[in-house]
Amino acid sequence: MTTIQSATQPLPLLADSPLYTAYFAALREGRLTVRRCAACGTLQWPPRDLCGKCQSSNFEVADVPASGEVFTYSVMYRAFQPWFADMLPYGVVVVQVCDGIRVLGRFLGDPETLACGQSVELQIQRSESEAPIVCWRARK
Amino acid sequence: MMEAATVPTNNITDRAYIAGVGETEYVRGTAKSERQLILEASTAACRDAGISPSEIDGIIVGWKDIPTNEDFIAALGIRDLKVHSHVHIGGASPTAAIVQAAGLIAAGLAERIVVATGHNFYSAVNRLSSMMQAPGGVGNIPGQEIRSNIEYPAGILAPMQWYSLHANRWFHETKADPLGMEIVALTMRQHAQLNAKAYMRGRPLTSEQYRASSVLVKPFRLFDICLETDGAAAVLVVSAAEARRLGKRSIAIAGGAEGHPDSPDDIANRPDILDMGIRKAATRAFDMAGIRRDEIDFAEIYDCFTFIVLRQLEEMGFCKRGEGPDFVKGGRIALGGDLPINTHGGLMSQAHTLGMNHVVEAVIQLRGEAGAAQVADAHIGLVTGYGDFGDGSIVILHN
Repeated sequence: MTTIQSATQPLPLLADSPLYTAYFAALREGRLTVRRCAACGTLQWPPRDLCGKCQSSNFEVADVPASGEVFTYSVMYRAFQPWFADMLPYGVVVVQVCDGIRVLGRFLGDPETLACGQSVELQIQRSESEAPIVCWRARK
Repeated sequence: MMEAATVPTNNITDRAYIAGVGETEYVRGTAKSERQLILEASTAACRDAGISPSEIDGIIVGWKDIPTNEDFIAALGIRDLKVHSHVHIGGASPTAAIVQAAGLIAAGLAERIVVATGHNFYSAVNRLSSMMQAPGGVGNIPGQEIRSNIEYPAGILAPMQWYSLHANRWFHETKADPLGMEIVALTMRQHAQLNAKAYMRGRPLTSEQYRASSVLVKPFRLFDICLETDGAAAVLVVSAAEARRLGKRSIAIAGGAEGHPDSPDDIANRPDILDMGIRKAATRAFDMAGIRRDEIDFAEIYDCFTFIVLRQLEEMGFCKRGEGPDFVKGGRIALGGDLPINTHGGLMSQAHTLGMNHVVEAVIQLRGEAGAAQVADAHIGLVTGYGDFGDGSIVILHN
């Protein structure tokens, strides 16, 4: 180990992940989207090469609700990357936005209040490199 | 083992035996590479069996791509390698690899297969407990695009964070008693006191110390999380004919399997987030071996986290979901109880050798060579593996 890692925000692969291009483009417009198989209509998240049901490789963009219920969550008291060190403790939630689709993101709020079933709504953050990051806050 | 009247559902039972075991020392801080440690453990397994390493005709490596098959041929002086593979399901790899070895031997493709693994968890450049996690850091983890595009930006970077999503939902759905995690932690540490190779030998753990330890990621305290050590372990799997030739210390493989959960590389989107690969694997393995759960004399269960032991007991069918904590109460899983678990101290208190050390301990128990930790009348034992985002494996051994 020769260098101390500086506190750089872990960012999406973007250019390296063509499967995610449409998702991040929609996020920049403030829309939460997943994919729908053009052949059989099954929703797909995360994006993969083929539809797991019918093996088609043709997909459409599908908007999903920008709010939902906390299905599960985590609360971090330790940072595994320096960028998160100043945020401790922080929460991460897995949100059920519709049938069969859950979207993971950092929780913007007191993580000690987190509970399964809690209502949350989407808040998109812009990173330093302009990559949009999915976050969630408690719904009033 | 199999009733004569039934049609065999497999051709593996009692066709392959574990004839030799080998382990490096378990330390925190080594100058040796993982490649060297794995090769040394493999050599030790051959010596334990009483064969020359040059006679090996098969290699299966769990989780690691290095040593390569070429590295083994060179280091062990192998004359004629007939089969090899590398198995990639995290900590479920070693046990799954042993089942694959048994299959290859039953098929007659090889007779003396080394199955090996190891990892320098402590001396790694990016230790898992450190603040240095980066995409691809752990190596051989599936779903890199999910990690990099969804999880890392949200602050999920390390195994204890992945698995916390499962654990917190388990507590919510089943109202399981968290005391179960403490009982597992204390029992593993208690067993380590009797094991000469255990890193935590000489360091008993009390309930007060456990409860005083910090929560790192809800719901895991420091003492709910396994060791980070350096080391390697290997076993030699041989045919029935070879086992007869080599003598009485060979242990029979009665059955085994690997299994995968739905949505195997993505816990967040798993429809039933409590699903684990061990559920399907255990059903196959017990059917193969033709035995009941209550015929198991001891179990070496993959214990990267205390809660994972409870969950595997539930998914293997020893008890219902949520009842794992009740199952471990009353001393049941301690030496002397009905089902001693991790008689060597496990990953929690012996060493983290990806569960290959669990296989070694099972063989030692069935040979009757476990000394102070010997399970009385040990005839049938099981070993489990758990890996990546919920893959599972199991092997059932008997003497």
